Amino acid sequence: MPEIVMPESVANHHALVGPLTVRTATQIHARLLEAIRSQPSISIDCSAATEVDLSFIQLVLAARNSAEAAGKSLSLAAPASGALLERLSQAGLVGRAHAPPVAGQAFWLQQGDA
Amino acid sequence: MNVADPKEIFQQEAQDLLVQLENALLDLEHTPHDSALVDTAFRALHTIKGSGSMFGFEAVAAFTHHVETAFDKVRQGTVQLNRELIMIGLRARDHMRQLIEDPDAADIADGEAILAALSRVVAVDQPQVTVVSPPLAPVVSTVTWRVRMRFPRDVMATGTNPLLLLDELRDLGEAHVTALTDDIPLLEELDPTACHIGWEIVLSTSQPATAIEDVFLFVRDDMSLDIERVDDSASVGGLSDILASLGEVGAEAVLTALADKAEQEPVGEFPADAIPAQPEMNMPAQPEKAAIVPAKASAPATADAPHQKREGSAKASANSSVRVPAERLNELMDRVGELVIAQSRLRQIAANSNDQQVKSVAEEVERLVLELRDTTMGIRMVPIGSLFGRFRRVVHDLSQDLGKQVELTMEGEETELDKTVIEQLNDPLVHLIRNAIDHGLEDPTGRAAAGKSQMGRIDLSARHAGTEVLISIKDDGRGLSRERIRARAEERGLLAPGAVVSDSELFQILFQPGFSTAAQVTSLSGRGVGMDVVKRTIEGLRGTIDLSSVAGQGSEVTLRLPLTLAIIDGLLVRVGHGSYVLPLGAVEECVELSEEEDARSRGRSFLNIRGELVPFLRLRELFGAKTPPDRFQKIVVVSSGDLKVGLVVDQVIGDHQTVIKSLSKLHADIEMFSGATILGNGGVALILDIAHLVAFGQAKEEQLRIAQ
Repeated sequence: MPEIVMPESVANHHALVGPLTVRTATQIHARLLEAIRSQPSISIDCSAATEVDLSFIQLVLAARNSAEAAGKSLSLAAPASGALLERLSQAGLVGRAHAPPVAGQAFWLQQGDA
Repeated sequence: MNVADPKEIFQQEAQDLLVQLENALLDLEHTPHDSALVDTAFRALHTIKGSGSMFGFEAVAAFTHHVETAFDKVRQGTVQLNRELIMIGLRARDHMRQLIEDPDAADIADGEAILAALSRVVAVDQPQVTVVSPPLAPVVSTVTWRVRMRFPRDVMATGTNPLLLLDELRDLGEAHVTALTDDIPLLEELDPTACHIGWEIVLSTSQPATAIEDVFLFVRDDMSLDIERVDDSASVGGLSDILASLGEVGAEAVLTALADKAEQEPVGEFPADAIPAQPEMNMPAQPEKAAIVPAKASAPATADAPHQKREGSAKASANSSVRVPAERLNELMDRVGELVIAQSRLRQIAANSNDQQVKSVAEEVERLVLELRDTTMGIRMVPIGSLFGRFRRVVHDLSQDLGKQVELTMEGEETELDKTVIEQLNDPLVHLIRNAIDHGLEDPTGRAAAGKSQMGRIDLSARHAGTEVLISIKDDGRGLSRERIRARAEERGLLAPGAVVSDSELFQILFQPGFSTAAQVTSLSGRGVGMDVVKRTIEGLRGTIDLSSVAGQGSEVTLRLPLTLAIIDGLLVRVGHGSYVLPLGAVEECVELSEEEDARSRGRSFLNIRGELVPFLRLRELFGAKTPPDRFQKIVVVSSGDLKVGLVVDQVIGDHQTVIKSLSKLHADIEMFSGATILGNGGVALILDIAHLVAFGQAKEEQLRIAQ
């Protein structure tokens, strides 16, 4: 179960820790729903994730859909790296090193406006 | 089958796969270069291995893995397929079957021997690779495929990682993976464990389309997978245009990335409709609709587009049939049988009634019931090809063992027969085929001397004839020798010396227990055991056997079998209070047992019918009937083969459409009865096993004769 740390000072900063996989997807789902409902802008920090799979990527994309539909903003706290970046490039959502960039990868890599 | 045991499902599926494997191997013997067949064999092995380990058949998986590896080498062209490898493959198949059916009984040493032989063949073949393979290997050409797929929703929950499958695709060649994220719903509506992302991959590979399908082997059934060949003469410019048009990627960036491979291989082109129509989105702005990532790798093999099509059509026809447990079919047949019975009661009532409406409804019901009965019996019908297919292996092995070249031809494989009949036909047919090859066909020198081609022929055919199915096994061997059969029969006292008998009568002697004319007993046949068993089995199926033969030109065995065993015409009789059914086909005649004759025959139960002495059995005594006997007892003379026996009954009631029900396990060892049926009045009648009764009656006669 991912531990969700929410420092008092940055209420919209959501650090997701531990495995972010299909096993924990239901909890992350609930957490993100709550965040979108209650906060105008959400920043997801998954730099401390130990494991990432497709379900998490899908959750973030869905959360962004919802945030945008509600006129809110959702972004990553830091450019994707480690396990997340690896999964993203496997899924074809981010270009591999030395390969042409991919449409939409800006969101994940925080290149310019996402 | 609400809660099916997954192990059983695996065992069933594995059966089918093993059949596929066997057929592919046997076909490969004739056409060793057919890559489609190698693929089929490989796929079967792969699936057995995969699902074997999934369902806990570790031994199967471990063993199959080695075989699969060997065939993968064949597939990739690094190992040549030869006769020896096919033989080992067949042995391995047998071993796998054993491991699947009864893992405990499987001989581990046997498996090890097979694997040792396998690795020897594969290793020995290795050096040839550089010498032999290149000229034989087809020209490797790169084809571009467009693969569009959506995984089943629960793919992640069932433990499959779609990303790894994507990586496998990348391993096949140059792949551009595009994620289709449009179907991801709002977070509120998202099922977090379901997979809403689809992919479109443009894959340039030298592998055949089947290799792409193989990647999705275990999710294939539930996912949507669309593999399309894209024009492979596309230019790099074409691809870059498409890439550029797909996203906000600069054309230069694409060109730079592709520049180094531009010379060596053509890259695929997206057709204009590469990206599926976008569904209505909930939000106006969606930064990325699709993304493309190139990946690279390549492997040598052949590309064949037609193969993919064939796969597709085979799949379609497989989907059009449903696997139903035999138990359910039996239940359905039972219900229909009861309906037939109820309907016959209705008919009786209607016949006695003056109500026109009742009569017309009864007629309508009768028509429907008969149609329903025919349809239901049709469901139980299975094409005999499934049985014939097994004989290819029998013939293959026998021709190896005996050093005779045999060609097996099959005809009428689509002829349908009741499934229970087909199952029981296996052993008799195997026996007849063995006989034909061992005794019928001459060895190569003998054939040459007789002016025949080296290759012996066995023709197996099946066809419908009225309510019967004719199955014939024909060989072009030396034919039956009348003189030898005759000499042998006279020697054994089965035939009076000099008696005039027709061919068919003479050949019937072959079915006598222990009768053999073979000068030489081989491991396969010649012991004289078997033909009588064959005959008994066929008669048990209410069928008959005919033999015909032309000296020097071969012989033909024809089996005549009824279409179904589920319903027979019977003769209903009464003994004491009980009702019994005799199969009408076995009934010869009914005669009256006069009181004088009854009294006279107390000592020896013999009846004089037109000068012929027929032993008879008093069913009253046999069944221990307590009621006083009817004054005018009847004798029903029944026959099995050439033997006749009279059965003394109290009353002959009449003919009866008999829906056969099998007896419970508790009664399974009562040989006197072959089954039971339900009567129009709801009572039960037992069906007498004529073959057994006749043998019993004849044996009793024998005893009496000895006693005197």
